[in-house]
Amino acid sequence: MSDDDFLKLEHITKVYDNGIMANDDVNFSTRKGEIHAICGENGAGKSTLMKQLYGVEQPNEGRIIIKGQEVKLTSPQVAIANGIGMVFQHFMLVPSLSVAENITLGIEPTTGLKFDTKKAAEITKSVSDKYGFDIDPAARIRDLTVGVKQKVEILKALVRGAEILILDEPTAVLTPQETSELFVQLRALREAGHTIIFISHKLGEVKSLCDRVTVIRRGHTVGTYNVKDVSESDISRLMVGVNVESKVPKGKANPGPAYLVAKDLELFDLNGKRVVNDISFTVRSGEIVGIAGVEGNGQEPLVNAITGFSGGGSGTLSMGGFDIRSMSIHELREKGLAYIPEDRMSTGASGTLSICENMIADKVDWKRYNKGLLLNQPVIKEDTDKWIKDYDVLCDGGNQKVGMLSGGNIQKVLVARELTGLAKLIVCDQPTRGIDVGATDSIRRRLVNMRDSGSAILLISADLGEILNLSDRLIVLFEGEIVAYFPDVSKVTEEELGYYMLGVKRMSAGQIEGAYSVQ
Amino acid sequence: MSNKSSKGIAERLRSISVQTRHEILRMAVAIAIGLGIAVVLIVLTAKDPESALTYFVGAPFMSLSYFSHMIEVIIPLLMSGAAVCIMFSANQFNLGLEGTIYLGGLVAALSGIYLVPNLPVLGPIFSILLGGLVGFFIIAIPALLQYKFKANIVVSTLMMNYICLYVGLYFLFDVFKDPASSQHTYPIGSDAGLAVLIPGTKIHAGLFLAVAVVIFAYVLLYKTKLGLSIRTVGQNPKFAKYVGLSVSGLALVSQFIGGVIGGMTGAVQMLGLYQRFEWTSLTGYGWDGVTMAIFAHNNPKYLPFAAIFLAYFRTGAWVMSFKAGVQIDLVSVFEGVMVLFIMAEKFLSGTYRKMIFADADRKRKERNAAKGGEAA
Repeated sequence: MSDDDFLKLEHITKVYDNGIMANDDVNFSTRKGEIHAICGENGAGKSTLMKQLYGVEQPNEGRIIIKGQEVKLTSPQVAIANGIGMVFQHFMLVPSLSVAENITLGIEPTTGLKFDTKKAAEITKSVSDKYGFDIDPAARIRDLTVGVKQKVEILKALVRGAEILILDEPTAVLTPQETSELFVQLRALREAGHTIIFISHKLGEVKSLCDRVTVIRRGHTVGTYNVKDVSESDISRLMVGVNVESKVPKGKANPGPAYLVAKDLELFDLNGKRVVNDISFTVRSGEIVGIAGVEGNGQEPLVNAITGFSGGGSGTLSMGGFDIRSMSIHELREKGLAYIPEDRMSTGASGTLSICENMIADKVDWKRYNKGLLLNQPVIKEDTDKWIKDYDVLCDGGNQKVGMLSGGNIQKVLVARELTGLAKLIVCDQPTRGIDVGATDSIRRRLVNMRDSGSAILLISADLGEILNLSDRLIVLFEGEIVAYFPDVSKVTEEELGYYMLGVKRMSAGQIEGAYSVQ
Repeated sequence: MSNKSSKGIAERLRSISVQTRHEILRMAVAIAIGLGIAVVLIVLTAKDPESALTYFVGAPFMSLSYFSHMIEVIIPLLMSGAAVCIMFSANQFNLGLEGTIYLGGLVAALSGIYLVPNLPVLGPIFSILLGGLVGFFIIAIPALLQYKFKANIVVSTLMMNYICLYVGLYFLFDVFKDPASSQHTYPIGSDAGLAVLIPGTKIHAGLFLAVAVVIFAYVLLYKTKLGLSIRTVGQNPKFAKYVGLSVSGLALVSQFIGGVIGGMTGAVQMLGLYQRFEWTSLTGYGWDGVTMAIFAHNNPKYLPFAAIFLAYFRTGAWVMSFKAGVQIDLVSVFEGVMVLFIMAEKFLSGTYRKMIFADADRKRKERNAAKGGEAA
C-alpha cells in the first residue's frame, strides 16, 4: 500500500436532482498524517465532493477507496465507521445540552438504563486533553462562542474514531484570533497521525497551514500540488482559470440626506432577551454603510426589523421619514425598500416558480405588468428577457424554474428583481455568499452603481474583504452594540476589525456617535 | 420530407425537460399499476372475465346512453377539480368541498321548488348562484377560523362536512320533506332545472358551465396577478411574505373562490340530474375534486384530460357492474392505487436520478465534442 492509497476518490461524477453536474470526473487522494487543502471557487464542487466522502450524497459514477479497500458510503454512519468525520459550516449541536452530552450523543455511556454523566465527562475530558483542547465538559453549548463550538464538533468526530477529518470552511465563522488557535490544534492532530481535509478559499490560510492542495474548478480537478511549490496567486489562478482583480473599483461617495435612520434602537428576541442594545446610525442616500461582526451579534434582528419581518422594540427606526415599524412589508417595498436576504433559496426566491415569475413577484401591482384584469405577459417577458441579459443569468429562458439554476445564477435573478424595483434603500445580507467569482464581481459592481445613482445601501457581510471594499462607512456590531465606527474605511485592516468583532477592543462613545450622521 | 418532420419530433421530445419526462413516466407507470390491479381483480371476481373486461375498457363507445353517462360524470369532476386546484395552489389543504356541494345542492333545489320554479334560463342561473353563495359561507367558517385562530384547516373542514350533512338532513326530513315520500322534497319546478342538450340523453347545460369554470380557474391562476400571487403563496409562503404579499389574506381568497365553485358544483349536479332533492349522504364529488387536482398537478389546464380519463373508466366499471356482475367499488381501488403512486414523491426517484444523470452526461459529451472540434 503506497502512501497515496490511504484515501482515494476516483472518477467521481455527481449530478444533483436539478440537473447540475457538481462533480465531473474528479480525482482526489490524500496521505496519512497530512493537512490537505481543497481549493476552488464557491460552487466549484468542493462541498459536493466532501458530502460524498461523508456519505451524505452518493456519486453517480466513480469509486471511493479507503486503505486500499473500495467502500460504498451510503450514509454518514457508514462513513464514520470507516473513520471519516466531518465538521460542517453550520454546527450540528444541541444548544440546551452540555458539551459532554453532545459529544457522546448516540454513543452514550450508561449505567443500567441511566445516562452516565460522569463517564461522559471523562470521555470528553480525556480526548480533549489528548489533543490539547481546553474544554469544560459541563458547559452548555448555548453559552459557548463559535470558536469553542467548533472545537466541540471536532472532538465529536474524534471520539467516534475519525482518522480523516473534513473541515468545511472552518474559518469562515471565526475571528482571526480564533483561527490561529484552531490552526495550532489542527497541526497537533496532524502530528498525532490524523489526516485533515481542509476546504477553504482563503489562500493565506492554505499557504500557512496545509501540506498539499488540490484545486477544483467548475467540477473538475485541476491538479494536486505541494503547497510549498505554489504561491497564493498560483492557486488563485488555478482556481479561477484567469487572473481576476477581486476588488471592485469605486469612486468617492456623494451622500445625500439620511434615508435610513435608527436612533436609540433596542430590539428583543422571542424570549424577551435584548439582542440589539441602544444603537444609533444612519444610511444616507448615495452611500454604502457596512456592518461587520461575527454572526449572531445582532445583525439578524436588526435586518428583520429594517425589512419589516418583525416589529417590536423601542427607539426610532425610519425610512425616508416613515416609521418602519408601523408599515407592512408591502408598504415598505412601495416606499422603495429592496432586500437581498441571506437565505436565497427559502426567502429570496421560489425554486418552483419560473424566472419570470420570480422576477416580477414584487412588481405584480405595477400598471406596466397588468392589462385590464390580466397580466401583460408580453411586457413581462420582454422585461425579464432584458434583465436576464443585463444580469447575465445563465439559463434556458424566462420560463425555466429558478430551482434548476446554479446558486450564482439564482442570486443574479434575486438581485435583478430587487435592483429593478424602486430600490431607494437596499439592505444586502451576505449578497455574495456561496457564489462564484464572476457573479460576485458583477453583483458588487451593481451595488456600487446603485450607490452612485442615489440608493442608500446597508451591507451586512461576513466577508471582510467585501465589507472593506464596498463600504463607505463601517460599523462593527458586538453583542448587539456598536463597538466601533469608521468614517473612512480605506485605512482599516482586517486584523484591526477582528479585535473589535471579538469585543477585545472598543471605541469611545464619542467616536461611535459619528455613525449617526444626518448629513 | 417525412424524415425531416420525424426529426423535428425527436428534437422536440428532447427539448422537454427531464422533470417533465419523468413526470409523464411516473403518471404512466401509476396508471399501468392501477389498471393492472383492476384487471387482476376483474379476472379473479368476474364470472365471465372476457366480457367484463370488454365492458370495463370499451363501454362508453358501446351505446349512446353509456357515452352520455360518461359526460354526466365529467361535469362535476371538472367543477370540483377546478375548485380544489385553486385552493391547493395556495397550499391550503381545504377538504370542505363535500359540505359545500351538499348544501349548495339543497339550496339550489329549494330555490327551484319555492323561489323560481317557473322561470326558464334565469331561474337556474339564479339557483346556481345561490348555491355558490352558500358554498362561500360554508368555506368561510373554517377558512376564517384558520385565519384568526390558526385552527387546522384539514381537521376543521372535515368536521364542517359533517355539520353540513346533518344540518341538511334536518331540513330535508323535518322541514322540506314531501309528506307523501320517505326521503325527498317536493319536485323541482319544471323550468327550474338545467336544459338537456342532446335529446334522449341526460347531458345537460351544466357542461358549458363546467368548461367555463375550468377556463376561469386556469386564467385566474396563470394569467392574472391574483393567481400569480396565490401560487407564490402556495409555492413558498416565506418568499411571498418577503416580496410583500399578504400570505394569510391570499390563502383566504383562494378558499373563498373554491367554496363558491363547490356550492355551484352541488347546484349544477342537482339541477342537471335530479327531479327532487334526495341526497341523504355526502356525494363524494368533493373527494373527486381532490383526486382530480392531484392528477392535474393543481393546474386546471390538465383537468379535462383527467376528467375524461376518470369518467371513462368509471363508466366502464358502472356498465360492467350490471352487465357482468363485478362490484363497481373496483373503480375506487383503481383510482386509489393511482393516487397513491402519483402522490409518492420518491416513487421512481432512482429512475429519475438515472435520467437526470444520463441527460447531464449527454450534455457533457456534447460540450467535450464541441471543445474537441474547436481545438481541431
